[in-house]
Amino acid sequence: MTTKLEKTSSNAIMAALQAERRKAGAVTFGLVLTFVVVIDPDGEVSVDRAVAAATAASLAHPCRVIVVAPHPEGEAQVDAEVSVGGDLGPGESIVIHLHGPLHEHAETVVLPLLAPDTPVVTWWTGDPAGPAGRQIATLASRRITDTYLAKDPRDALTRLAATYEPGDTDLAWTRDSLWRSMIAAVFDALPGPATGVRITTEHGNPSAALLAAWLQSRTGVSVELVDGPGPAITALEIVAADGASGSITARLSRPDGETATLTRTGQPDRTLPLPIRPLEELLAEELQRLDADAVYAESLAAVGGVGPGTPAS
Amino acid sequence: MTQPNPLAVVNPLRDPRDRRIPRLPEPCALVVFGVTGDLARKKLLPAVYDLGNRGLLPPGFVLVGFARRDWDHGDFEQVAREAAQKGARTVWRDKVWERIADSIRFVPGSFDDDAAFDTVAGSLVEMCQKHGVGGNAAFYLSIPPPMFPTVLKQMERTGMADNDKSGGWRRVVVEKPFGHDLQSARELNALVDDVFTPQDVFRIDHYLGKETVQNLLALRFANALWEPIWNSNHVDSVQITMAEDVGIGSRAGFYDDAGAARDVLQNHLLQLLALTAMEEPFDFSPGAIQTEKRKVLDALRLPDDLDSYAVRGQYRRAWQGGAEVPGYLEEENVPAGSTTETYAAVRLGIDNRRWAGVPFYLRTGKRLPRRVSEIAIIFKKAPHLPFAVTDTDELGHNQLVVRVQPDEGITLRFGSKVPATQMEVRDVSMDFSYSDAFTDSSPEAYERLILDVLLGDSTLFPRTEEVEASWRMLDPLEAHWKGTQPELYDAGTWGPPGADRMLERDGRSWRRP
Repeated sequence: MTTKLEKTSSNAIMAALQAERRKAGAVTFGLVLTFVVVIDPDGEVSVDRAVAAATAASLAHPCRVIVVAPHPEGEAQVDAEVSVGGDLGPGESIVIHLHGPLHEHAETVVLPLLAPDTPVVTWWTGDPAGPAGRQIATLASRRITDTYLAKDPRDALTRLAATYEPGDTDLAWTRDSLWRSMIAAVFDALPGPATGVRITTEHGNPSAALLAAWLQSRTGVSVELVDGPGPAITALEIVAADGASGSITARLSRPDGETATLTRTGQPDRTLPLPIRPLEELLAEELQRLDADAVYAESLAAVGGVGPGTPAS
Repeated sequence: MTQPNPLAVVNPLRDPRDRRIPRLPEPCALVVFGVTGDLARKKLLPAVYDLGNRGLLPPGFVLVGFARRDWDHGDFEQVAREAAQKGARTVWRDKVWERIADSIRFVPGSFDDDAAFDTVAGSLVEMCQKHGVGGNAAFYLSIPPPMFPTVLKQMERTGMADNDKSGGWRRVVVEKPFGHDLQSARELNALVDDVFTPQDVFRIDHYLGKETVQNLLALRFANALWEPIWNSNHVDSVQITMAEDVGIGSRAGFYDDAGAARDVLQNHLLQLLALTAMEEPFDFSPGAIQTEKRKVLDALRLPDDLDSYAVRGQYRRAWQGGAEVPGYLEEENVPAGSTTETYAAVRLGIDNRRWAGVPFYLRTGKRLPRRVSEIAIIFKKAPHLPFAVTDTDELGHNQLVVRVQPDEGITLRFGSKVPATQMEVRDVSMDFSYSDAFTDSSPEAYERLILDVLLGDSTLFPRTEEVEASWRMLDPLEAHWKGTQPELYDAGTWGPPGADRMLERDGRSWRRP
């Protein structure tokens, strides 16, 4: 059920939400967090896309989704849409349009709407280095950015590293999780220490830079980035010492963004699922844990030590 | 164990703070005996697919299926695919299944046929080489208990169960029933432990794989709120219920020999009781939890007056939920005049300081009004009520109910004032719904348990001693019931009147779940 409100206020939005909930018959209150999405009016993510992704992610972690859409033109005015139940499952959503000068004071509208005493997670859909969304981020215990949306992703990572606070996280790092899980499993079975790592990736991919920084900071081995055709990261090659034969090579290659092949010296090839995941799944992973991600912080700090991509030889 | 490697180092990529990287099992094989059976098709194959889809299967994984069906590999692959697709909890991805299908081998044959077993052993070695799996393998015995000895002996003969010979770990998964009394359980344990080393034996009680059961440990030991009142000073009684709305279906062959007490009470209900009543383990290692559960099971006491405090029943033809259903004696393949119980209720005591004097009422039955499993902790009434007697007429005991299935969650019942000018206190319920507050694609019990087997984590599996302690408790009850006639109850009701009388005798009544 959806209620549309024009020229409204936080109090009226809250009242509409309670009325909707009563109508839907949901008398218990099982929300575990508030998920605030702040739309960059000049960004690539539309309000509809953000609402769809956030509500899909909220099915896994029922929450109050608040989508803030700023419209810098015109007179100061708040319009809102309040929904409970239906496709939202046990969750609820509020889409707020802030017109005119109000768009710079989004936090004053959002603050009264947060679910009581639950963690707040924010997702800013613009360039992470941009100034907007920062005020609302101060409300949050976890702040999601996405360096894929930055004009210069490598530069954005450097800036995120400079301003890092516990609770920061970036979807470029979330996109690495499946790779990292697979690489860790490959390392489990290495006969000796790694001596070289090479990552083939589309140029300027921030996930590849973070992956390289993670590997480099943990293994002490210098990681080489090589430009490739994409999509995203397409291959990763590890050379490791081996007492018997001197060295072995293990190579994970994923040319189609879907399935990886693991090739290792002296072993048969294996195929493994390693899909490029949709936004919904990335957000759901982010909502899974609300504590600070220390491994991300360390990898982010190490990005500066990763060389720029070199053309494939 | 795998060969020691002089160059091997600690994996620098593994970090306990890194919660995004799941633990993956080492490359390994899963061998399923009885792979065309109901359990394998409804639970095991979908669980394997879901694990693959969640990226939780190791890079090298092989599934070898063995069954007495005259199928070729193509037939099996078709059946397996349909089964996995039908039962999968996660989204269906053809590529994931193709990868799993590529590492499946089906071997038809009879369990007592040496040649067929040699083929299984050969296929396992061949598939493991082809897919780069070392010597690690888990064997899932999804077969009727009478076949266990045959299959185990065959495994011993072919050396399949030998850790040293295979150059990796070898584990076995056994489904309940783990015997039908203490004697047979001991024999079965001796047989399994003889072929496998005891720590490599995993007994599956799928109830323990359910999220709510694991959440019971979180509820008790992660919160400050409950533990101080979790004892005989504050708890009046505990009711543990596992009700099924269905009849015995096509299981007459097994069920008529076993009955409700052996089928459910001995394993599921006693395990739930153990988790509810146990002391805090000093950590969450399998050994520590199993030790605490064992102490509770050893302290269990049957009532002296078994005639009054143990009730067995059998359902008869009646109307249930809008349809007329047959009685137990009319079910297919049930022998005429069978005295097997389809309902069992008993009052147990626990002889320790925490629970002295607190009755634990356990009940299970078939053809009850609805399918529900729950643990209800019923607290004592407030020692003094500063209200007029008429004000608190409708106030019952405070209750904490852990709903195991369906609609997993927790209900808290307490008194609240009815809005009006008069003071009137009435019970209200506060609900926490597990599926509402967290993901609805939470892993199925079998998925979790198979992963634990492949990881070698035995936390959620009952140990030999627990199984034997459970039978030690149940055997005298079965002996008492031997030759007695179960009390009849109408299908679709909450069991025989005797069960209600049993609680009335103590001035209590069953909770209606």
